[in-house]
Amino acid sequence: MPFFDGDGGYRRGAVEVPHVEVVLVLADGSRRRFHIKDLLNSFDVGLQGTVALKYLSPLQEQEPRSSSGLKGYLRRLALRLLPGLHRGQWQRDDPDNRASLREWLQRRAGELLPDQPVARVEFEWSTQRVSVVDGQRRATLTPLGVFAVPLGTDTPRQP
Amino acid sequence: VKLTATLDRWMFEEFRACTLDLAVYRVLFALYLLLWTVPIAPWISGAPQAFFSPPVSAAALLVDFPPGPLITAMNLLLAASVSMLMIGWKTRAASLSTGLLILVLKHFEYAGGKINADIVLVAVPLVMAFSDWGKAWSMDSRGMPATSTHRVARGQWCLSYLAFIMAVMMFTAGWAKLQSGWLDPAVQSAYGHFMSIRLLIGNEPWAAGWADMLGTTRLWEVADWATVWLELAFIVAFFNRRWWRCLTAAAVVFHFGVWALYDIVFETNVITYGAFLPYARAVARWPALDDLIAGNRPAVRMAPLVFCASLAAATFAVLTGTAFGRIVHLPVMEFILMTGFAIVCAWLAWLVKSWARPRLARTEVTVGNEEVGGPTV
Repeated sequence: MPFFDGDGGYRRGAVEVPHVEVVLVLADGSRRRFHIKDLLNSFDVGLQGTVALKYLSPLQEQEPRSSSGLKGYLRRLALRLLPGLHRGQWQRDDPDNRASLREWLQRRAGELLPDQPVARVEFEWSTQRVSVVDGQRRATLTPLGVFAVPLGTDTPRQP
Repeated sequence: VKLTATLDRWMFEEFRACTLDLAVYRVLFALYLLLWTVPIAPWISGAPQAFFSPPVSAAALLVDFPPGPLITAMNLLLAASVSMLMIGWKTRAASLSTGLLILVLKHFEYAGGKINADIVLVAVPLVMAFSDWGKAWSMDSRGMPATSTHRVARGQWCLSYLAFIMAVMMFTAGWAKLQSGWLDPAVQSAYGHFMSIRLLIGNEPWAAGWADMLGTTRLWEVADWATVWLELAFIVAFFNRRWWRCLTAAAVVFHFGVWALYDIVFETNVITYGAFLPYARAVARWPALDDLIAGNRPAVRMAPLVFCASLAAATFAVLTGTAFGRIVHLPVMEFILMTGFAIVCAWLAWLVKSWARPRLARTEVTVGNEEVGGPTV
């Protein structure tokens, strides 16, 4: 994924960081926004960023994995020996993973908005470019994509 | 032959400590585990399979997080081991089981996708299990008189080995930064992280306002370089106890700064540096404290009570899924960092005093001789 690897440093007068907002879309179409911390508060603070970036970011941001050649062979071999290896990250579209994520989001949505039917959870990702000019922080947001998980149907989809 | 002799001397003589030093450290380490570490990874019971992403490890043999009751059971065993470690009852077995249980639990914790620097918590009990840390202030030493040999500092290979593990860990952290462009003068990585940690997670560390006043000055580049070289230098410093002492002191200040600016707390590192402190010598000037440390009888008499209280607190923490220190709102991490910082400041003050005293005395003699018209010394 862009800018998540490497140094993530301040460069050419600005720093670019990923930004995510959690949107719970109710059955009547209304939208409630939450900070990612609210959704992930059962996890250690240090783990929250990792969880968001690795499992709740848009699927198209995943790098394609080679299935042929030596790299692909080694990967298949590794997965045969260690079936859980990077499973959550490498196999995000696995039916079991999708089902478990949906079930977990259903539970969390129920806790965040009790007695309100949530139809879908959306993770709105953007790049936040922050520059400091004359001691003032200026931020601009560039949308990156949305990862949406419908809570009533089978498949998380990209809008 | 020379190389072997050098290695032998480093391994068995370079890092010295007396039995009392190690015993005090055992109690402090167990107290830290009890207050802040148990339970490990309680969140696993509520995490979806979609978040299971272990690196190459035994955890990757599974395809999902282990069931919550298993994690709870292992944490209860850990609570019992830590309680035994604290009172020094079957110390070696308690140390080994503590280390192994932390290792297994951390395996599953890291399966969430993030490997932390706290793996050193595994190294301390596993390595120190073979030291003398259970031979004083412990149930294991009941019936034995507190001897004067407890105060004799001698070479401790366990400390050398612990220093080596710590050095490798810090070096790998520094190497990763070196590889990812932290020394590039066009990129201020420390500043970038300072900004991103506030923007992504929304943390507002307590010294952030002061750091904001620095703006984007080149000081941040200095911070990048200092961080990388500090971490890389560990791989050299572990060969010599004086270098080690200086570097760990610098690292404590560094960890204090990281906490102040990033709200990232590496208290486990500071706790590990604590293994190298001369506790018995430090308290020698306070007779009451010195007597407390020297005598084994009070420790043995209090042991059943301490064991029960420790086990009850840790069990409560496991069952509630929150460390006991958090339940009672103890600022454990902050206390450790501030204590470490205070110890470094006191050590620096002592160094300055030791350096200045003979010079001041020489000046006084000189001035005194000039006043009486005598010869200058």
